[in-house]
Amino acid sequence: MSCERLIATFLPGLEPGAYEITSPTTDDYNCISWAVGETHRRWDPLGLLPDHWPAGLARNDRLETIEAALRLEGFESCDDDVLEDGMEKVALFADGAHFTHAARQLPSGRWTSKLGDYCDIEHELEDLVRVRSAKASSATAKSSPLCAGHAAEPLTGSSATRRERGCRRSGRTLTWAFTSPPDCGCAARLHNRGGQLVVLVRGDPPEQPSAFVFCEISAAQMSDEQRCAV
Amino acid sequence: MSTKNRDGRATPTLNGGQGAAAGRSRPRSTEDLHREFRQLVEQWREETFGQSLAAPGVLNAAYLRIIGMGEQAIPWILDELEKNGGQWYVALQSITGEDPIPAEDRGHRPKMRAAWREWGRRNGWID
Repeated sequence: MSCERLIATFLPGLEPGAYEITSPTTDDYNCISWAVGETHRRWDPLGLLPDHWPAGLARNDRLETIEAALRLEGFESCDDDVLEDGMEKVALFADGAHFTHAARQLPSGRWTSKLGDYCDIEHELEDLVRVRSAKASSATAKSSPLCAGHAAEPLTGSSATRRERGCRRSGRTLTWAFTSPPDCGCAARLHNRGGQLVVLVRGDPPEQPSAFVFCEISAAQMSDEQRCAV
Repeated sequence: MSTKNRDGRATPTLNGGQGAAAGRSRPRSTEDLHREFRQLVEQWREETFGQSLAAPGVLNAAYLRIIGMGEQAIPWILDELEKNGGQWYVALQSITGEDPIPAEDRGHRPKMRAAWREWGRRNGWID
């Protein structure tokens, strides 16, 4: 079955005109490999197959485990998914606390994803958030669109420890700033559409320190103004 | 319990030789089993589409059913691996009890496929 037909069948919310297939079908690499720019090996923390996973890291599919692997590749957490000069961003998707997918931002501002053992696609991040949220099974993914009058489920996992941290930009780097309430508009918007999402940023050059900022916040923790502003 | 492979050598099976015939009144033909194998492969690919990590695919019911087919499925799995790829390594290891992939090639799919292809040829499962 072609990748296009599989997308139509299993990601039905992803409209044909909303994405482009950018690679042949291959199982040589997966979405984590693709997120970090590799195509010669698969990354998989679970160890059922002889795939790559950085030594010393936990062997589970929790979001923080995938984050830890990306940090070893030079990524740090950041506050949003906005295109920034000199930054390469990766968005991690989760179903509850469990990692489900990674997408990488392109210089154009669109995003690229490897779909399992199939093809790469280029897409808007929000389209994939919406589609994957609809497929996810946890309460986290059942939240309704903003301003529709439905309360979203609170996020679980590590987000609660991060929500107090605000952020501001300084040149090309992100620096810590503790504000209340956190300025996390874009991440909050994505949360409200149903999926847990973390955006990580890799500095350019890679050795340049990019202080990291967590701006995750659950819809249930947002004020009405915040919900309706996005 | 053992069966004979293409060389006529007796080889152990993981399922006691029952395979797909377990619980049935009569053995099924190779053609029937191959048809079921193809259906299971399609089912597995559809049900695991887009999954990033291997674990859900390996624990999928269709995948486990293919493992349950035992040695009869080895040439079909090797053929599927060669033509369409896929995470068939756990199935092959489970059925054969072997792992021909050199340590330095682990994770590199083309080399992993080549290692199993060579194993299949060496053991008479494929030409």
